[in-house]
Amino acid sequence: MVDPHRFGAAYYLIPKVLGRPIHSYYLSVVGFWSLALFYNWAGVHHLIGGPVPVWVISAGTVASVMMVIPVVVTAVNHHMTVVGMQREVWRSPTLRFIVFGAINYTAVSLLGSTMALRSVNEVTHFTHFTVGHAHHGVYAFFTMIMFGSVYYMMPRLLKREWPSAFLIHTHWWACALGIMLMVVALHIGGWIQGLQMNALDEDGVPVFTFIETVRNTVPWLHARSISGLLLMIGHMAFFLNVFWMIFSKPAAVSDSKPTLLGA
Amino acid sequence: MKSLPILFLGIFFTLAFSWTGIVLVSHIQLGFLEPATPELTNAEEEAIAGVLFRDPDTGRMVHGRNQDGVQANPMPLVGSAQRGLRVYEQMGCLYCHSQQVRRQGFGSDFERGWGNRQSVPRDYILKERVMLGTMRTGPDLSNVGLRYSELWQHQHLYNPQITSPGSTMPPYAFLYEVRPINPVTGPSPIAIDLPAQWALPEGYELIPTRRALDLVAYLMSLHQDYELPEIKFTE
Ligand code: HEC
Repeated sequence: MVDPHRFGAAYYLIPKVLGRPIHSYYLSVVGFWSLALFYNWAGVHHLIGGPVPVWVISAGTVASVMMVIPVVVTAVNHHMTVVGMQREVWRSPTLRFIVFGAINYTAVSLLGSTMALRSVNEVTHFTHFTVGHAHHGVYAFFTMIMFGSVYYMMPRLLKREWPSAFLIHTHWWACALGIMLMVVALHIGGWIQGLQMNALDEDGVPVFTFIETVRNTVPWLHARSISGLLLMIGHMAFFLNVFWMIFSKPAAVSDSKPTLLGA
Repeated sequence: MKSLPILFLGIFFTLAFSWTGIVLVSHIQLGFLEPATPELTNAEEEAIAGVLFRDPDTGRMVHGRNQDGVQANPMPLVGSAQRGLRVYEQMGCLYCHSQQVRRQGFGSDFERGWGNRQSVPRDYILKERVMLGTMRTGPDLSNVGLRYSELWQHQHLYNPQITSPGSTMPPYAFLYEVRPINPVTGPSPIAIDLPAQWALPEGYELIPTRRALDLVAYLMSLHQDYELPEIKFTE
């Protein structure tokens, strides 16, 4: 349910910062209404195989696949607005984060629709794959868009610029690399975990004991710890920059140019 | 904004649509569930197949009646086990453990011995909180009350490495107290035995707190080893 918020943020900020209208008003309307129609129904895909009536699950699966419509429509709209202005996106802290989030929205949503298919869900359900997917959604797309929005709002609210481009760089690289590492590690580790959990030999006996599948997830969880460390570094850089911005003397930062990132 | 009423109606319609489908229809379908005997009877006390039978007077399908003198399931949680549900909730066991068995042929729940039938909605109707869970860092616990002794549960909670070397489950040692054995009254009757390798220093014993006792009572109460009119054991 974080989608509607970030839709607002991305639809507002991408055209605003680039100074160019959104690719297609009509597509955004289609995206909005198809999202409203299907998204509420899609939630039950978390209960596939669970103790709920089968028709509920089927409806949830259908809605999850129908989510491809708003996702593709929104993807076209966002990415077409940006096409040809990649340099500007890369130089603006706001857009660098927001476009990263928008790209991940497309990826995480298409993956999510796939995960609602029963045959895929049989492997991914109850594993770290789903955990990775959740972080893909809430961090790589939602949180990154919120970071981008804060980079836009703060200078306008405080009437002063971001004090340090270096700290923005640090924030960006630590968070972008960190979350990508987490998502990739949990997806691969979770997929292996799911396959090993379900593997049966000819006699219908599990090939791996449960504790074996647990031990085999440990290296992937170590990778996740490292990714958490990277995210923490990024958050510290962001915190320092915000702190510095709020508490520095106004004169020092008043009539400067906007803080942009080198190409 | 002249299209505001349309926007409002559209949002109302889409929300009402999913609410009707997921909440209202499910409630109509399942809201009446009560504990049931493995087989139900019709008005003439004859066993029926499944859950519903046709009432001869009205011609409508109605829910069967429980058989006389047969245990109806599920049974409510009481006392210590009921308090243990709270501890389970507070300790975050839910983040790593599910309580739902999938049918044979979908995943390996059946083959791993987590349950001999699929979980159904009726299994949960008396639970104050439904701990379905969406993650299995550890095994499914729907039937864990049938698998281990209380002693095993205490040793495992105190330190999972005692019973399950290599486990990634965190120890819940803070639910236990290591204290000197009372020189007058001797060892406590509720002290937990530990294997020699994990033994405490001479003269000390391991005592479960109230919360540990409640939690284990809750774990021991978890079982779905009864048949219901809508679900039989997997062959
Ligand atoms: C970080 C994840 C995690 C948390 C939190 C967790 N567990 Fe576990 N649990 C595991 C893992 C992994 C196993 C399998 C290895 C083992 O037996 O220790 C397990 C096994 C178990 C088992 C044995 C199940 C079986 O069939 O062998 C029980 C019972 C259990 N946990 C109860 C609990 C309770 C009660 C809590 C909350 C106080 C809890 N767990 C919290 C990960 C977790």
